[in-house]
Amino acid sequence: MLSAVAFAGGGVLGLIAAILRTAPVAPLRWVASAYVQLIQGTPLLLQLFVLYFGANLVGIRVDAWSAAALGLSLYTGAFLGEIWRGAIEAVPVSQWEAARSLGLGYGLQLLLIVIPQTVRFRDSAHHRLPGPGYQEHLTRLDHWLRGVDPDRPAGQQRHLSAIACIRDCGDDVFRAVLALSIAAQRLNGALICRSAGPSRPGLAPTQRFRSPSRARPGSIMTIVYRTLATGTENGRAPLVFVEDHSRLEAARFRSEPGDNVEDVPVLSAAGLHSDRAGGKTGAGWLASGERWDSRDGPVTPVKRVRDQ
Amino acid sequence: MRAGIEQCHAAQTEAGLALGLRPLQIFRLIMLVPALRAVYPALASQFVLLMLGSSVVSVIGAEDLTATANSIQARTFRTFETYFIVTGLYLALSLGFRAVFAAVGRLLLGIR
Repeated sequence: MLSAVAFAGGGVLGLIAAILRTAPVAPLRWVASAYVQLIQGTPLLLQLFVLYFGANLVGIRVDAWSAAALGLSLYTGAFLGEIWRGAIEAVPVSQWEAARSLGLGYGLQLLLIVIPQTVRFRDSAHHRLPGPGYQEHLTRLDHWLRGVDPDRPAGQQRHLSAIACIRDCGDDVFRAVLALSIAAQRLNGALICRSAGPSRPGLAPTQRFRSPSRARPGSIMTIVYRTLATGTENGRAPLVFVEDHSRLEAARFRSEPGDNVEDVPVLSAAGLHSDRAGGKTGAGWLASGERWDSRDGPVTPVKRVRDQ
Repeated sequence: MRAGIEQCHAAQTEAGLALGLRPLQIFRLIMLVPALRAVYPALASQFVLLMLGSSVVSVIGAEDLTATANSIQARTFRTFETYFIVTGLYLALSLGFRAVFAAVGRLLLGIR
């Protein structure tokens, strides 16, 4: 929801910024140029801080969601405005002159003649340079880092955020950084797959993307630790571990003959630590939504299966 | 970089081969400078974006400017002032980097 609002708002703001940047009146150009330079010259995180705390300081009551939506819209609008300004400037001057000779004013020249022709350059810009899909990608990445699952309504955010999961890693800093970098790369790839659309025949195998239903941003890090049913013999409960929080219920794991994995609960492994015996201790969420604690009994991952 | 290198015409490399240059010499003398000229603005802006994106590492606890701002505002409870000043610092940094990159581009590569 946040990214949709940011995308829509950013689109509107970007269009306004692009039109102002190419206006014949110089002060309008300065205003838009200052806006783009300011937003492009500062980090998104700090822009959000300034908006949220600044507005509340001045007295305007904004909640976090509104501040985030406004901040993301401004950020997206600056980058989109630059892209579309390039597209407007790429239309040859002869088109402007032909429109002027037809007696159209500046606004109508822009609206009827020039902007429809920017579609050509916008498409090429989108494929070669970061375009709207990339902006959506960035907003979703920031979204994910803040721990908001966009597919669930606000009252049902029951998964641990990536930030909390890194805090749970405790002393294992290397593991935290590794998990975050791998997850970010997978999210990146999934979002690129998603924005590219369904696979098309005739592409090279490296370019043939998976279908969007598989490349979901939530299905990152489906590295699965599996225990065989024989784990109960050692007094340790069998559990299936999934590194990814957001898709516990959709975890795909390979089963082999002799494993009764249907009634094995699925646990997210990101909040767990390894103990000396190679088992797992800590706490996490089961796929049914309940909380699981290792004081119920340590578990041994016997086998590790990498999915995807 | 790959986009810049691909922009080099095959005719240029073939002319280099006709002159008897080795592949490494062709790359160094013929392809490298036009490729850098082509991608230099995009490369510079990517670097600035990376510098701005580094503010996010404060979330996982790495020490950087944003993390310092966080600790200052946690101590003094002046959230807006701290973040506003640090935003200004980032803006100054990005403008400074852009100026440096523009100067380097003008001096070394002849980009106006």
